Amino acid sequence: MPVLLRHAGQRLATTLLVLAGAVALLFVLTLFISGNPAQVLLGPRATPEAVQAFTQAMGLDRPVHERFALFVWNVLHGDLGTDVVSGRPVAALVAEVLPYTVTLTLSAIGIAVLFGVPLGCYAATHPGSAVDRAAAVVSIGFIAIPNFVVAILLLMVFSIWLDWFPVLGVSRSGDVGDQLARLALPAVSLALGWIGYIARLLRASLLEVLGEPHIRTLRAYGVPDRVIVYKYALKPAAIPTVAILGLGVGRLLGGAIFAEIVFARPGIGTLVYDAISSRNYPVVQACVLVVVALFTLTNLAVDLSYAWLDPRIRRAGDTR
Amino acid sequence: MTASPQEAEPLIAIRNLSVSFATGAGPADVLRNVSLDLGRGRVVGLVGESGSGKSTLASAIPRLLPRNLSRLEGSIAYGGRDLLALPDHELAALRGTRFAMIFQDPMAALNPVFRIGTQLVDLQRAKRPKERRGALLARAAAMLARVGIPDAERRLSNYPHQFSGGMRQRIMIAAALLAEPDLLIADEPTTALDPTIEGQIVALIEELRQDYRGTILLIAHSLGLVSQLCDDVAVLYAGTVVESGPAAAVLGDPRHPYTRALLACEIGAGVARRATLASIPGEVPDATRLPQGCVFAPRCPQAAEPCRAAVPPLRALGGGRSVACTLV
Repeated sequence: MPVLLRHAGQRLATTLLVLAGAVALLFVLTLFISGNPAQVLLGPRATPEAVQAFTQAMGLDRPVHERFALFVWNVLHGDLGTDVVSGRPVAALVAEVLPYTVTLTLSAIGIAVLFGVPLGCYAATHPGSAVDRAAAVVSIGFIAIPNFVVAILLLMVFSIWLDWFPVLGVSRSGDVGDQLARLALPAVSLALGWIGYIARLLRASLLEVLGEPHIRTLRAYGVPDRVIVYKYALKPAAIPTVAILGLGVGRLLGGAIFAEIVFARPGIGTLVYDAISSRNYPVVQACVLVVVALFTLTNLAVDLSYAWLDPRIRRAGDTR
Repeated sequence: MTASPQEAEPLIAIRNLSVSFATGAGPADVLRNVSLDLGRGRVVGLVGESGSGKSTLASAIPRLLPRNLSRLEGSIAYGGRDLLALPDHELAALRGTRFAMIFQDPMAALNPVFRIGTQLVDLQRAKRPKERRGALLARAAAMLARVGIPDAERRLSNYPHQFSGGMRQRIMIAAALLAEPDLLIADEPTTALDPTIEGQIVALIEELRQDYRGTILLIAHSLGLVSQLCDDVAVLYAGTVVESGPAAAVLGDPRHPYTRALLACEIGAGVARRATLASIPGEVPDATRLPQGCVFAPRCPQAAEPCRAAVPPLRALGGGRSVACTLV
C-alpha cells in the first residue's frame, strides 16, 4: 500500500506544521501578558529583589528571539517549563493527569459510538417509526443541554439521591471496578449529546446512501439486509460522522474540563482550571499545548481513516 | 397471449400486471394490464420511450419496486408460483439465485468503497451460501477473465473507480453470470456507455449466449439493439404493451402505428430519411393523467373515433404475435 503510506506521510507533515504554528502562537501570546509577568505571577507583595531574581531565573530579561528559540528548544526536548507554585517540572504534572483526561474522552466517544451508531442505523432503516421519532426528540434535547448541566443533574440523581455511583474523584489504586464506577457518570455526561449527534448524522447519511443504485444492486442479488446496512451502507455513510467526531474532539476536551471540575476528577481540565485561578502561567501554556497536540493528532487519525473509508480519497497514482 | 411458438410453457408469464405509484400529483399508473411471456432460453427485448414503464416492468419481476408503490395487481407466474403473492423472504431467496440484474449506469451500480472482489463474493453468496471466500474469489476471477477483463485475479483487489465505464459493465455482467440465473434482466446495459464501448458490450452479450442458455430480458430504447440481440420483442407505450411477438416478424412487419413510428425514428431505418430525422409528434402522456381509450390515440396519425372510445385489448394475430390496436 505505498499510496496509503504516502498519504499518511503527507498528513503527518501537515500535522507537524500545525503543531509548530501552535507553539509559535503560544509563545507570542506570552508577549501580550499585561505588565511584568514576574510581578503578575509573584503577586503584589513580592519584593523587587524577588521579582528581579525570578525574571532572571525565567530568562525574561533576554531578547524575544532568544526566548523563542529557548522555548522551542525546550518544547522539543519535552521540557514544558517549571511550575511556579510547586517548582516541579510542568511536563511531569501534565503527564500525571493526562491519562485521566484521555480515558474520560475516549470513554465518552466509545459510549457515544456504541449507542449512537445502532440508533442511527435503526432510525434510518425504520424512518417514521416510533423509535425514530422518539430518538429525534431525545437527541435534539441532549444536544441542546450543555454538558455541565447534564453532569450536575447526573451527579444529583445517580450519586446523591439514588446513591448508585461514587460521588467524586478517581481511585488511584489498581481497583479497576471502582475506577470504572467513578468514570461512568462523567463519561456519560460527556457522551449524551454525542449519542444524539451521531444518531442524527448517521441516520441522514445512511438514508441517502440506502437510496443509491449500488444498494439496489445488492438487493437484486439477495444480499441480506443486515449485510447491506451494516457493511455496504454504513462504511460510505460513516464519513460525515467521522468528520464531525474529529472536530468534536476539541469540543469534547472542552467539555471534559467541566466534567472534571464538576466530578472533581484529576485531569487536564482541573489542572488548567487551578492554574488559571492561581495565574500559574507555564502550566496553562503547557495544558493548552497538550490539548492542541491531542486535537491535531486526533484529526490526523480522522484524516487517515477517510483514506480507509473511501479509497477515492487516496490521492496520487490511483488511476490505473 | 404471446406464447413463443417454440416453447409451450414460458419461464415467466406476466398477466394483467398493473403498477401505480403515489406521487404529489396523485397516483401514477405506470403499468396497466400488461401481459407478456418470457420464453425459456429466449432473449426478450422490451422497447419504448423513456417513461413507458420498461424499467418498472423489469423491476416488478424480482419485486424491487420503489417505496412509493401504491398498487400492484395481476400475476407473474414463475415455476408454478405467483411472484406477486410470495412472502417477502421467499421472493428474496430467488434474487441472486434465479434472477440477476444488470443496470443502466455501471458507474453507480457498484459500491465505491469496497473492493471488486469483496463485492463479487457477497453478490454470489445467495447462490453459494456454503462456499468458502477463497473459492468464490477464484470463481469471480475466472468469470472476470471470461468477460474480458485482463489480469483479472489482481484486479479483484481494485476499487470500482479504478475501472472504466465499459469495464465496470463487464464486472456487472460477470456478477450476473456468476449467479447462473434462470432470468437475467438487463436494464439498458449500454445506454450510459460511449458508442464504441456499447458495441463491445453488445458483442460480449452475443458471445456469452454460447455459454449462458437462460432467459434474458433486455430493456432497450433502441430497436437496433433489439434486432441485433433479441428473439422476441415487446413494445411498451405509456404503461401498456402495444405490440409483441418474434423480433424478426415485429420489426420486419410492424402492425401497431406506434411500432411503425418508432422504427421510422431509428437512424438508418431508411436511406430516404437520413436527411430529416423522423420524430413522433407530441409526447408520452403523464401517467397521472392518461387519456380515455387508446393511450396512443392523441399522437396517432390514423386515430379514428373508436380509438378514443375504448382501450383496445391485446389481440393474438397468430405466429406468436399480438397487437393492441383497433385498426389492425
